[in-house]
Amino acid sequence: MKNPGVLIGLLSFLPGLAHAQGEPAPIPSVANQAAANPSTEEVDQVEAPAGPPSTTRLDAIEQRLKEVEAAEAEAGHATPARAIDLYGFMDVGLQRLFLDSGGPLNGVYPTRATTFVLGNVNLYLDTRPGPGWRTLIETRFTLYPNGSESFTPNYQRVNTSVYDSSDPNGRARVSWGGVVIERAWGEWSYSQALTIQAGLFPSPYGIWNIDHGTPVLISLLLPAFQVEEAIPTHLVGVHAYGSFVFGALDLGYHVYLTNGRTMTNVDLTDDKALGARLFLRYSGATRFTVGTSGYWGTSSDDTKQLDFSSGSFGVTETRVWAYHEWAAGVDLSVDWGGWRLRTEALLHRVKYDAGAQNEPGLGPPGSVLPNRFAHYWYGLLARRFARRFEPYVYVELKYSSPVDFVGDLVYTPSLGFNIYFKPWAQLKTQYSSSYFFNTEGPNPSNVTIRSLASRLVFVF
Amino acid sequence: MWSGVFGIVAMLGCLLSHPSGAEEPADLVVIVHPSSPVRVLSANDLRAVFTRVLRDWPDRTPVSAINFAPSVPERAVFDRVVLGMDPDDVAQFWVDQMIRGDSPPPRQLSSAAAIVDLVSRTPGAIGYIPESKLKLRVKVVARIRRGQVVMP
Repeated sequence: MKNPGVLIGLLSFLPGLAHAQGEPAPIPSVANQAAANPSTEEVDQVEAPAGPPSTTRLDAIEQRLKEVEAAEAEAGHATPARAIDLYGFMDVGLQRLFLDSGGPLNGVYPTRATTFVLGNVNLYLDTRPGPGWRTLIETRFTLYPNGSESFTPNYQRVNTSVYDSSDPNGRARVSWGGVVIERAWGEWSYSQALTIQAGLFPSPYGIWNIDHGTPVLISLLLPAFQVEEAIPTHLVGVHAYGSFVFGALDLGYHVYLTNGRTMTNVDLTDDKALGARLFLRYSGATRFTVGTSGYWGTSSDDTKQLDFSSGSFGVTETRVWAYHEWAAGVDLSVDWGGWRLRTEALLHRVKYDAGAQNEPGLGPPGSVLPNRFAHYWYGLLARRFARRFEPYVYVELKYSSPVDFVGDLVYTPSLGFNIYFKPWAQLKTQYSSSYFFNTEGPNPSNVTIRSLASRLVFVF
Repeated sequence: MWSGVFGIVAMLGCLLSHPSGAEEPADLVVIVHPSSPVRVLSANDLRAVFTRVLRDWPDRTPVSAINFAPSVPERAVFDRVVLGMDPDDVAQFWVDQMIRGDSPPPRQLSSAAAIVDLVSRTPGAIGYIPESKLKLRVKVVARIRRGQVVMP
């Protein structure tokens, strides 16, 4: 308890309780202290609950004590207790992908059957060790790598099923999963205009990667630039951000220096990636944000080989592939009455170093990825009715230059419907269809994707 | 058949709607620490403060907004007049902020006296209370009367 005055005041609610319990002695003395303290006198006058004493009243008083302590700690007026705020979200649902049998996209998705899925199980650990300081860790618990597939070059599926040696009968099996770190950073805020953050953070670009979680995003379907990580979705490095407030308007920025896109948990080169975002936000009855984001970086992969050829032990490094990349995007989000508009456009450029191109994840043997541009756009318009029901239409385009093995243009129209039961419970359903075209030659056959997905989303 | 459909829709609407209790009109005063350089706050300023868009006062003192708990009637009035949101909208707004990794909502107290006490002792603190509970140890920077933010 950091504030004895408030404690005394709150305890002054209790004369009836003391009387009822036959312990009158301590309470009058506390009440006398309270009478000498103006602030506690106010508390007594204003807040003394009526009625007989009960454990409910004690609980209420204890709750108020906690509130006051938390508020004082928040305000920097008292040393905060060692506490971690725990919160998060999870989603579970049903989905079906309608793929052309025998088409190349069958290699990307594990099943064409209707299946229940466990989506995100994300837990946040939020601490404020002192005024201006904060750490935030967000972990996602997954069932992966169990069941994940690859073609390298032959089909493989990961099976993490093992015997549970702690099981008394010894024959039970468990499939172990993994933990994905979505973010893990610490930050210090100098002022409204400058906060410095270090660690792993979601790249602050556009709308999608900032909104980040199923409870916040309107659409279940991720835009192609998000799936393909035209800008890496998570980065390790340092990040400065801040804003300047002018009434209902604020002008904000993000600047980050990171390892960029890496094949390992560390950077294989001394080149660092640079990114930035600038946004203007209006937070009136109508809310809108307009922003622009950019990213510049390099990426590469090396192999190493033991070398005994010179008679002494050595390691030879070989550059497998390397490229420079940049991306630039603009975004707009508007909330006007029940209408919600989201739209983003992004251009991504990849240019390989001479003779250092890499292979596609899924493509003909011996093929390599070319220098390329990718243009992305999506628009989403939603209308919330009766504060609970939210139908929306979503349209997405992607144009690649030059053409890749499934065409150069992808068009994805989609319809969705969200139900907001409560702020902590939603049901999201979406139907989408993606069409692949080759604007410079014959259109690819057997390459369409239709999907129906739903997610029940819980926030805790 | 259509009457059955309408019946189901009506039932769903009833299930999803929340009980709307009678909201008592209340005149509120927005209070800050006496040493605060702020003299007047507009509705836009208050919205920026209580949505944590504004994090520093002009003298760089960190803003410490203190809210009423959702169960307190004055909270609903404040949210509707200042933020333009109903209780579920406000709850959704803070869910979104926390999932994004932004600041959590302002701390909440259920006692006007505790808000006065905390604001009077904490530079940078701001809260609101019913006008009838106003004490001399704090400075008034705005009033909420008949559903509007007005000068102090």
